[in-house]
Amino acid sequence: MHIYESALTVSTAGIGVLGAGAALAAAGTAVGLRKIDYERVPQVALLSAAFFVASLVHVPMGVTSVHLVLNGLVGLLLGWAAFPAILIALFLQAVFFGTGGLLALGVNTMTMAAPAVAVGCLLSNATRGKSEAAALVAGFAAGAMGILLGLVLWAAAMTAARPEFQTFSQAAVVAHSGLAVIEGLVTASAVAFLRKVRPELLEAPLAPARLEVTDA
Amino acid sequence: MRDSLVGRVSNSSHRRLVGRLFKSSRVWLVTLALLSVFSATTALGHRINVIAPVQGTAITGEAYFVDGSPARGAAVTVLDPAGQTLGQTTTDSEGRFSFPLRFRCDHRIVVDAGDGHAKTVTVSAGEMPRTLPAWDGEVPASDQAAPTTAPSESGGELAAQLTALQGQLAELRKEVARYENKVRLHDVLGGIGCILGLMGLAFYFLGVRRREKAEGHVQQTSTPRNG
Repeated sequence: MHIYESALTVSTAGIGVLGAGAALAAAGTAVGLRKIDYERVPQVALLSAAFFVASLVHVPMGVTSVHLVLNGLVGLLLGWAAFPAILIALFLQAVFFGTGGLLALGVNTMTMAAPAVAVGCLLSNATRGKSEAAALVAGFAAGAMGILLGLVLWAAAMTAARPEFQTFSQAAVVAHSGLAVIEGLVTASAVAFLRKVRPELLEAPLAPARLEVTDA
Repeated sequence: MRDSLVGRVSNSSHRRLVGRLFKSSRVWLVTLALLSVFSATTALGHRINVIAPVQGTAITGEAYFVDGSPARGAAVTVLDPAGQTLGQTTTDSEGRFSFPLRFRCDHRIVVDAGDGHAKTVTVSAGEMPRTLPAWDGEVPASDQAAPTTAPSESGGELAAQLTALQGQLAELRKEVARYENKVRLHDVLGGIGCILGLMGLAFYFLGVRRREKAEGHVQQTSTPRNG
């Protein structure tokens, strides 16, 4: 799901997409950094490391292979703090493995962290609710939505930069939607596991959300 | 279960949580499991790689994805140092392409697999035979035949040896490129180490802020509280 800088730097629109992505990612990261308090630092680091490693796990699918992204899980557990966590992981992937490239860091952060934040806002309450079934469904939805929203953003960025890729982008979205199911299952099982073993991790909310939990 | 989910929300419970998180052997087990998974994987992403050695008076290159599969039918554009197009070709079913050299200058080769994966490599003038004319910045209107190689005139055996050597060099380059692109365990460990270092930094600065806040509270209310 990484966008490669070499695919965007060839056109003026592509450079615009790179710039816009960088600006939005910087804003999101600034918001995310403000939400990280002392107690949440290890959790952010742990999920950043998981995200960093997940891209190395390849699942063969048809003629191609896909790798886990885990942005749904990151968003579920971190909310806005997903931005700095994903930014750091993507930076390290770019430096160590050359995925995406440093110029595309902003765009890639946006395409993966924005869905994560959306998922966190919409579904994290359900995953710590009373109903086990609802929590599992929310977990599956979180994983699947993280991927699907990311694919939509990916296709939008690619199409804006290189209109000639429109058909390809649409085809890629369809091809990768299978990954949404895999991610959904992985995220649902992670939620189930955490509910049994470490419910506090699901509960540990963002600083402002802490009060909401008290009221609930 | 519900009680544990809703009840504990105070600061002290969060601090306990962090302590337990670190003590928990399960966290380390999960980390170990992740480590063992990625140490077994070597393929990565769909990044395109291009190797473009000069052989004789042509650039004979190869484009392939990181998993080793060839980039078939990819558009290859050759540019001069100023960005002017010198020529175009496409890769064959094995990802190979060949571009005849007509001038001696840096050649920028852009391989575009057509799906957003593109790679640019530069072949420096130093690799090209000295018999080629220097680049004067203008593509001739009519395609002249590429100048014949000098080695063919001066001794056939030497030329054959040279070609063989170039072939071996090309293979060696491919091997180096593959080796460089393999995901290695120490890269992954280095990345995780960086994340741990950043975590330490975050702890330090947040800790300083926390202490300052606590000291402020002491001065104001004389009852220390954690922010």
